[in-house]
Amino acid sequence: MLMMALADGTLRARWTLTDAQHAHVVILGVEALDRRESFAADGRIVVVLVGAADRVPPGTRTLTWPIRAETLLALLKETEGRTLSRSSVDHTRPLIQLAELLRPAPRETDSAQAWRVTGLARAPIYVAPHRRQFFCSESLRSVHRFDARKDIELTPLAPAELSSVSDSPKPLVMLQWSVGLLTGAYGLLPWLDASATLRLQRFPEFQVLHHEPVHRRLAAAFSRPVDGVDAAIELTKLDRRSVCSFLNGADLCGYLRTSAPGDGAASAPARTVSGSKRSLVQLLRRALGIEALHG
Amino acid sequence: MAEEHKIIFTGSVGAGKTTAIAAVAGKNMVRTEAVNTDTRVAKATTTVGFDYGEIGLPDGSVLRLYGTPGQRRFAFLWRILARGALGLVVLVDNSRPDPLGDLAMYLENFADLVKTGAVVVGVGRTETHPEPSLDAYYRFLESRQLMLPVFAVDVREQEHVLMMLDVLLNMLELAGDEEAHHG
Repeated sequence: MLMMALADGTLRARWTLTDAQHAHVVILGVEALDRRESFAADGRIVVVLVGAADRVPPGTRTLTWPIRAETLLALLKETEGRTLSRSSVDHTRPLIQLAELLRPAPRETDSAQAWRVTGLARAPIYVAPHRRQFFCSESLRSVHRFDARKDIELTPLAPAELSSVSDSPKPLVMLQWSVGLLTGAYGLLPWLDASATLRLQRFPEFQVLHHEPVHRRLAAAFSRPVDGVDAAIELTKLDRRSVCSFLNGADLCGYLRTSAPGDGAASAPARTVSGSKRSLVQLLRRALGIEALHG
Repeated sequence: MAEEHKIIFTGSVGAGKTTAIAAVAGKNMVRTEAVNTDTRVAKATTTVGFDYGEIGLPDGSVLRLYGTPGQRRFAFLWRILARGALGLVVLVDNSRPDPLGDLAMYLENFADLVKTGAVVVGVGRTETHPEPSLDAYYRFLESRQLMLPVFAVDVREQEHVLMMLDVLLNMLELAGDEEAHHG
């Protein structure tokens, strides 16, 4: 397998190279110009790659060879704007519903309703929000490999059905965190505002939560108020997907505190980190053997 | 003399400061332990000066890890050790009678370091002594307008110590160049 990475933090989606039938954007060589309309029929964005000497019919969308990185990114962002919101909502609606179900409920509205979730892992997951527990016979590792294009089904459970589940209970926070990380591929959860002032009210329990070193970095960043997702990307030098995943996970776990944009009491001046400070910290990480964790 | 960078480990007697430093400094560590005469603490020896671990950096400078003696009577030494330190790891033993009181005492004695925000709290023995809970620690810190990371740790596990240090370094870096603490 050959893999290509798009090292740009401003893209919202995780882009994958695929065959033309499944793609949202198709880049055609000029020699395949006659196939342009067949690909465009399904609503894909079709672009023809042309050199200076190539001639194409009027109205043909082109990319000039050699492709400039900025031009390619603009094309991908346009495609995201046109198709991601529609397709991701379709694909992820059950995932978002699950996220809503897992949101920390205000105490006065606590309900004893339990749920069976199928499709998220190989085995069914039984969720009992009021007990702050879930039940599943397998590791959450399979949840982290979940393909959001697959169907998730949420079924309400009668109390008797839950009592017949023989799996050991696990802390709900583990599932909340995992589902939050998954939804980050599609941006912030719908109820979070990307321009709000965001901060943690407590750190994630990294000893029990499946996490990556980027999550420790983000936790440190959000231990103080940060004015919006873009400011967090700038501060941490991490990509949007990582930031959104972390914030979604933190929100579902009840760790996140948000304030309206422009709330003077909550907002904080933008933090800048000098190159010398970043270098020193990098040096210390290397000396302590932590550097490898950060790639 | 080579430039030095300091990280301080403090906390109550028996909280695991010596063990934590040994977990990352390995053989490059000097211990100043003596027979423990404090019958309230169930350990054979205790640190009477300070523990010291040293790690050379590629640029010729040195990272020094200092473990303070735990007893309050050594507070004068804590302040000396804290001068110029990059960050602080506070280890709390949850089996002691008043762990939150212990934490308060260390935060007050290292107030200048706490202001920079580069502080991590590790709580030990939570398996056998789950109270106060981590939630209680966060409420306690919030009552002091502080937001510091609190982790349940076993400092015999190198991975736990490295996790705390990783978070500490991130706190240090991402506090920005103006190190005023926003509570």
